[in-house]
Amino acid sequence: MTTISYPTFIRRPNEYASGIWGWLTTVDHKRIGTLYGVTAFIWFLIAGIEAILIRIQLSQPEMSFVTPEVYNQLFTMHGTTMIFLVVMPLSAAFFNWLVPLQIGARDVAFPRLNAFSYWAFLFGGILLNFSWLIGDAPNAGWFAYAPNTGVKFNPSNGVTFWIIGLQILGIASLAAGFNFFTTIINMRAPGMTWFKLPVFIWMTAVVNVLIVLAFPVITVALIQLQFDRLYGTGFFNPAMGGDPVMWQHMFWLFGHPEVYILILPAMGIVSEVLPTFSRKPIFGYSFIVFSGIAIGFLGWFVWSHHMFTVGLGPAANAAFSVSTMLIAVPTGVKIFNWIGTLWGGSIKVNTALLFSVAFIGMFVIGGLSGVTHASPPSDAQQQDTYYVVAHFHYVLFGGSLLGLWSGIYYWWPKFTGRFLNEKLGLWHFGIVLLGFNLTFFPMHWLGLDGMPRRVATYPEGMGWDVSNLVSTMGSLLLGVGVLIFIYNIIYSNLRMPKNASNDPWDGRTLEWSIPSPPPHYNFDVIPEVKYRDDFWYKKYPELVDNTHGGGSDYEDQENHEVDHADIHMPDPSYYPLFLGLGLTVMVGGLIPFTGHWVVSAIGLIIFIWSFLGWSYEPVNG
Amino acid sequence: MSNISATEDHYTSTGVDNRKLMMWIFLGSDCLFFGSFISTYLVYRNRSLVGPYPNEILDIPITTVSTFVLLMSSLAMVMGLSYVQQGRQVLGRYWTLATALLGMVFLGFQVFEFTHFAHVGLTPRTNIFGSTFFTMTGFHGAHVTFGVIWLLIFAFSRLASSFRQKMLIFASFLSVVITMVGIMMTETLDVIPHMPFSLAMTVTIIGILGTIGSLYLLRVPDTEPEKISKEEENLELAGLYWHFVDIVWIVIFTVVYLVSAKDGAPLL
Amino acid sequence: MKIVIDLGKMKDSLVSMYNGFLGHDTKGYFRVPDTPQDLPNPENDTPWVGSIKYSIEKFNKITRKDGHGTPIFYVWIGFILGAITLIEFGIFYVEGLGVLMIPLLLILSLLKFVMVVGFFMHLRFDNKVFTYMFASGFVLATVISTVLLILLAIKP
Repeated sequence: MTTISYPTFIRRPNEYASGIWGWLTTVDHKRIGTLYGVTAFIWFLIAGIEAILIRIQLSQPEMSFVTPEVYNQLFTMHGTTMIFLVVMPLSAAFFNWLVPLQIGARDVAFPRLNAFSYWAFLFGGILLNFSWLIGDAPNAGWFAYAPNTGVKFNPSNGVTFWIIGLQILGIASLAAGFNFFTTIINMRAPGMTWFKLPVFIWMTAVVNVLIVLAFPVITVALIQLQFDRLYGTGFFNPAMGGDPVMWQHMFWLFGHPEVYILILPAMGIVSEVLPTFSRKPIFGYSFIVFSGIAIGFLGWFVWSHHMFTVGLGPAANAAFSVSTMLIAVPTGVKIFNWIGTLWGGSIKVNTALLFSVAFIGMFVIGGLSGVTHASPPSDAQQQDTYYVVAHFHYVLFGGSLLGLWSGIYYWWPKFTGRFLNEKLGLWHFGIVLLGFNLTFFPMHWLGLDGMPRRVATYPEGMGWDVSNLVSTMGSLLLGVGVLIFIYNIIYSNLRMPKNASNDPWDGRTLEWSIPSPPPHYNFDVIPEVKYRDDFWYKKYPELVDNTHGGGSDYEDQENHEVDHADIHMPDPSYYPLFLGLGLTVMVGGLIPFTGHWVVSAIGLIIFIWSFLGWSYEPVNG
Repeated sequence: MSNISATEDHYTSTGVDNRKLMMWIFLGSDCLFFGSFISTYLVYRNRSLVGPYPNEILDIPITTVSTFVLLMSSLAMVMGLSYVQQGRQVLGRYWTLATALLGMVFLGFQVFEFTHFAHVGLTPRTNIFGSTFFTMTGFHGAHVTFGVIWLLIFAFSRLASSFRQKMLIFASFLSVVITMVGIMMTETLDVIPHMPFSLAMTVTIIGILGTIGSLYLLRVPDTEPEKISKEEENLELAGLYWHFVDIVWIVIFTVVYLVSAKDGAPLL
Repeated sequence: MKIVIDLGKMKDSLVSMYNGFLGHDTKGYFRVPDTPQDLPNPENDTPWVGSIKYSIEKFNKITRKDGHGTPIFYVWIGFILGAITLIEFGIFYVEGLGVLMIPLLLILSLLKFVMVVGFFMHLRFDNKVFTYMFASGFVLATVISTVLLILLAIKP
């Protein structure tokens, strides 16, 4: 049986290509994780600048630092960028790096699809932000409520950029979701049953299930909005029988699982960092795991709590109020489990631990303000005020971002072989924590006092001036903290010695059993797993009697010498990059501009060429 | 066991193939995709402000026939997979081709329905019924088209090892295209003026004969038992996708055509 | 190039298609039984009842966990699917049913759905993990759609 030799105009790369071409064609999950991390951080800086511009505009009443039109674009892009281009990709960076390492695999289930996810993310993000360059960024908020986004009130291309960009990012996320979920189910090391998995892997599994189930809904909603705007359908147009509230339903059906997608990875990271630096296993493993699953499941039934003021009626409001309060319970269980982990442990204080502990504190504050939203009468006061802004920044910045930073400090030695400087890290932590609280804590009372969100300025004499100024100062302090972090990265790369051992923190999970940074093939020998936190018990066999969750009656296999030539790793490929490019060009060509169908056709050709090439190229021998 | 490579499916935790697992996860996800479109349709029932309304325009008998065609294509798919699993290439490819052709007949019915509706005055821009109906069935049709292309590629894959075979493959593809054109011609008789039915049928039959003939002439040998699994896997994935498209249509047919067929103007 | 039509080979392939269609039983329903227990009992069963019992037994054997469908089994499923479609079509036109038509149609469609998913897609015979994957998506979609419809049907 012969294979069709597919015509290629570019030389196929060798097994482990070097240089830039190596990075462009990589299918190695570790490199893809690094790509995600670096790209996401650059978007973080851009979105941060957008935030600082917003804060400058709001520092004093009646400022005209930016026009209201630009202000709308700023908060829209700040939100969209932070959610889709920063927090989700940073989580993806950790998934990429850690999932194969912690389950004892050599790579993910579909390495090329993994690479494609990254390239689609990169090109989609560029397309979305390209709208800034033409002065026509989306301006309807990250939630894009109809009818503001309809063609009648928003005829320019900004919102179309938002729709198209999000579709591409959605496809990238979906592909990653399929990939990681398959990997976790199917590529665990022998003996690693579900209840021996690290908590981070459990959270990753739940997150990827949420992605896989929630993103189709936003895809449909975006298609409907796109058709309304460009092709004259009437999904959200009352004149044709449509209903703008349907957009809210569709969006929040996606949007609420989305916020759990944003927070659960950070919770997973914290659940890894705390046990290591308390030298204790996570307290109540089963409870944390089941709470994570419960959050993922219940998160589907709370969406209308974003719509309490829309007029759904008392029955609907009551039902969603109950379900929202219910979902606070598993979250609370996790908080107690983390505290229980620290309690009585042999605590080692360093930057990673500090960020994780701060996560607990800040997330609890955000959670409390969230619970006050769960009551419709109370929410009627808070809706569309700065109280909401305080709430979600406490859970997203104080939660997700602090958790991600904790993970960065914790795993940096594993990823790069060097440590991040601890002293700079402490400064980074302190300034960020102070700046963050200065920025967002005043927003609680500003909101309760009635300051509306998404409005470019506020009048004098409302009594809001001082708090806004403090908030702006805080945001500038935050900027300084981020600069310190950047300096830390540069310092680490230039000055810190590349001397990290396999296991600098005396960790518990499998990734600490291999060199730092890991070799291309991860494990010399795929480990046979006997216990939860198996690596810990390999190091300290005298502690084996204390194992929770028990071991299986697995016979110990002898380690045999392995010839590394036997290990087959997947070949690099340039098709993921071109498929991502083709997808972006093809879908981007749907934005109406002169000659856009030609652009779309070119994208289609690139897409088909890449798709066929990918299907027919021989997978590694 | 220690030298587990990342992509070769020697060992998996559940014992099932990665790609098959991913296909099932994808199908679960696609349920949400179609579920959103169908929910939108159901929410917007009886809300069109102007006609045409479903009770004036939906044709249940013809749609029942097209549903039946799609169900039979699922049967053909299963037969094809069964033969490929036994390594019998010729029969397997014939049945796969039959699946694709039945799928194209279904698409023909859809094209007929869409053009007929447009003729009568219902487009996506006319009213909310038009918007929801066309997007829902349109995306379903797009899924069917992708499946048809996939099956056609499978039916003709890995055959070319000589110039003669390459020419025959080209001829067979051409025949398939001609068949498709013929089917489309038969379905759009009332839209394209002066289209003789006989011409459309002749084109279709030429296409079908050409396809069968070229495949026969290609004389594909049976697969050796050791090599069966790869082909079987690929076709199995295509089969799962195809059956899923069929069950989505079962849902759409029941919910949109049978249950909602008597919808009309908004109740005041 | 010369085109050779081998009639013998054509006949062979037609015969083997026919055999394959019948699932390796060249004698179809008039096959020689495997064991004495397979014989219909002429004292208690009429020939029809006997063959019905035989079919039910065969069905159970095929559809148990590690069973495998034969081609004739799939063809039967195909017939049943077609028949259900015809019944649905008929029900649609019966005026007397009123609102009862809807649950009836939904149940029939559910039957079709389960048969295609279970047998054609082989879910019945495959590893349970596939069922979990698909069921979670499908059940979630159904539940959320239902909740949404109920939500919008409750007028404030």
